[in-house]
Amino acid sequence: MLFDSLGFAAFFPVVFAAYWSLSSRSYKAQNVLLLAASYFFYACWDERFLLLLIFSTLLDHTSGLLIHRTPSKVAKLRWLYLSVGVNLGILGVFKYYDFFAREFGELAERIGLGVDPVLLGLVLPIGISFYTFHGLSYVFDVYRGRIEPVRDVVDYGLFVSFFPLLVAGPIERAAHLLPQIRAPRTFRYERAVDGLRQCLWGFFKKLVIADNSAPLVDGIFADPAAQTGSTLLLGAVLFAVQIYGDFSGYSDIALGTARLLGFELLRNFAFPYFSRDIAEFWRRWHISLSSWFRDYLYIHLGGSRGSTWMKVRNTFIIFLVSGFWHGANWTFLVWGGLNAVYFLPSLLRGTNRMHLDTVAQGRLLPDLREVGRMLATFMLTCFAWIFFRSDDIPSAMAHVGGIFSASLFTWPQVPKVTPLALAALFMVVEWLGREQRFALERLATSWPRWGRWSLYVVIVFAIGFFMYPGEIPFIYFQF
Amino acid sequence: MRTFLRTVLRFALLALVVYPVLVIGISMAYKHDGFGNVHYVLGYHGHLWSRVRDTSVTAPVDVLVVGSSLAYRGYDPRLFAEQGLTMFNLGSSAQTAAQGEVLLRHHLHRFQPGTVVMVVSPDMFEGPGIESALDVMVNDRVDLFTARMALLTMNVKAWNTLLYAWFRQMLHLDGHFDEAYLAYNGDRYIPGGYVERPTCDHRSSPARVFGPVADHQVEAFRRSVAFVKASGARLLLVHPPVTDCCRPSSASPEVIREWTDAGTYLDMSGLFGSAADSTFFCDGRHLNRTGVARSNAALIHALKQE
Repeated sequence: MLFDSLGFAAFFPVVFAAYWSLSSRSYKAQNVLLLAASYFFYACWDERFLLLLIFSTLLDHTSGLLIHRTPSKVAKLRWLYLSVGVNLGILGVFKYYDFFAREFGELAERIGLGVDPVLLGLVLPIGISFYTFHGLSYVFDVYRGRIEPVRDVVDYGLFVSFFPLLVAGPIERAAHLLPQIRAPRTFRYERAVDGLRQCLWGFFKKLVIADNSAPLVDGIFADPAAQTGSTLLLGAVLFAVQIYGDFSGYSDIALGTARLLGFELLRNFAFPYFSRDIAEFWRRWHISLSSWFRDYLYIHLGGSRGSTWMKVRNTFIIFLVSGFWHGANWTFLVWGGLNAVYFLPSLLRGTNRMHLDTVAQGRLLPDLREVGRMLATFMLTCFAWIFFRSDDIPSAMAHVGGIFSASLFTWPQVPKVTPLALAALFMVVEWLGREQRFALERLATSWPRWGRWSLYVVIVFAIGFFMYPGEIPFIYFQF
Repeated sequence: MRTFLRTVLRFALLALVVYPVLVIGISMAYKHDGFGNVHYVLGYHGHLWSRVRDTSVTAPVDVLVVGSSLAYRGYDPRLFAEQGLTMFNLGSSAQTAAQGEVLLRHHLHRFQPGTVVMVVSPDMFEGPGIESALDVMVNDRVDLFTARMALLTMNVKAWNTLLYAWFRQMLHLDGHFDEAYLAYNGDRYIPGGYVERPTCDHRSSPARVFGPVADHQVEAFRRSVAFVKASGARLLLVHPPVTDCCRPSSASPEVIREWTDAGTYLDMSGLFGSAADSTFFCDGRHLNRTGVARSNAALIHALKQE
């Protein structure tokens, strides 16, 4: 069930009504309802994989209890390894086995060994990378004693499977979400309206901005050799817009939906394309994943402490793992590697925490230096996106090679200009709202109601009038 | 909670009122096709505008033909007239079962045909049929049948266009439009519904893999069959000659069963053997003049025999 489907438009109001009608009785009953709704939501994709989700949930729930109950450190570690091993094993089989088998087969052939690798050809269960990381964060936190294990399996099941975040995040932390699950929720008008506003903006980002960019991007990336340099550059920029609109739009809908149910989820995006360097970009892009890797991998590797070599090593590990998390393809590894290369200079110079504020804070426009920094960061990001979007490395290299050609200085060839105009308008609104949690949060809230509502109706109209009329799945569903 | 629900309801009502106004206003102000999700093109490839206006001057006929371009490019009323039969061709571009039903509901009563020839092909059950739905709602009229067809496409472009078409038709804003019988691409509309293509590019068509059957298309087809039978007309389902690219044999048995269960099914797809050359065909699916003459003769023969 997609957020932008009529199925969800029917599903959510029913859940919303049933959920709040239970509020006066018990939050426990609400949790049961939400868990059932979440399993239904997931089963609408493929009911076979629901069993896998339930197995993963039970495994981590039991592991958490056993880790906590066992006094012996060795035994605790054993339970942790078991949970992590099984979780990553399942993820590995579904997501990475065929990739490694194929690569092994090719390598063996190159050295003269005729190996015919056995490929499983498994369908990737939707959301597996996300719910696996939910579960891992829980067992890690229990092992470190940061949180007490949850005894109620319904509460834990809801933490892993809560439908707004089940298939594409944000990747929640037990310490953040579980206390909300285990406490009564009260309906608050302001929060609910805020949730609706965030959903509206999320739908606009996804349906209008991302989906209209998708056909143009697909056309350009399908055959880089047939495009001019300027078109290829525009393709990379448009993909940057598409993936941001798609994923941050999804996240906005997830956060808005959760807010309507009384939950606050982790923020996933903070206007990343207005970053002044790559370090700032990574504090603003897919925040829940970046912080997951930081907390559970980077810091344990030593983080930015230790020798220069250690810093370089840790940075590369974190970015390569992050790239590989996205999928079993060399393109994702190169994307991760490029970001590591971008990140290193600021880490080594100690300037990686230079831009902790928002660009042009309290001002309408940035100064020239800020514009230059934002543009440079954006172009570096776009360059890395070429590898992320391309089907394979040769295609990515052809794309890059095409950009750096004489035809870069020609007018780009695009069949439609409407998506470009909409993207430009969208970035203006994002700029105006960059100091908020999402662009529409405070925009027009000081206006009288008729003015505010007019703006929202125009956005509703823009969605209906400009949305791409076909169905384009969310990009991050494939991860 | 009550305040919240009241606010949401009020906003929804406001949006319901303002949305159509904006769709109509913007579409009136900016008529460039392809801007936004309104596709309002009078005329169109299949000359449906002329065909629908033609229905008002055409007397009752012996044979009424419905179907996609396989119909309006494949069955010529002049050839039928030579054999003493009056015929009207009610085909439309990329027509699926859903649009066939709407056209039959709108026009069958005018013609009081002895026989309805439904030109079938497996793709009549495929997908939502958006291209044809847009064609029908713009060039024919908007009523509840058209609205149901548009809603079932589950496509926002079809919904917006329905709204705009309804508005324009209500105010008779297109009364001045006169579609040229000779189109820019050389196609010529022949009174009686046929569209003649003077030149062929002889493009071969790749083998078609027919998509899954859409339930609402099958339901529309069954309703059409029942409607035709209720009118007292005889129903003949004809698969016209095609090249190897698009034979009904590659369709699912479920599709063939629909046709055979509906009435007399005449499979003429292999009339010209496996020839895919320029002798009978313009392209993989459409006949040239020689092919039209031969296939029409075969159909007329079958009609007279029946």
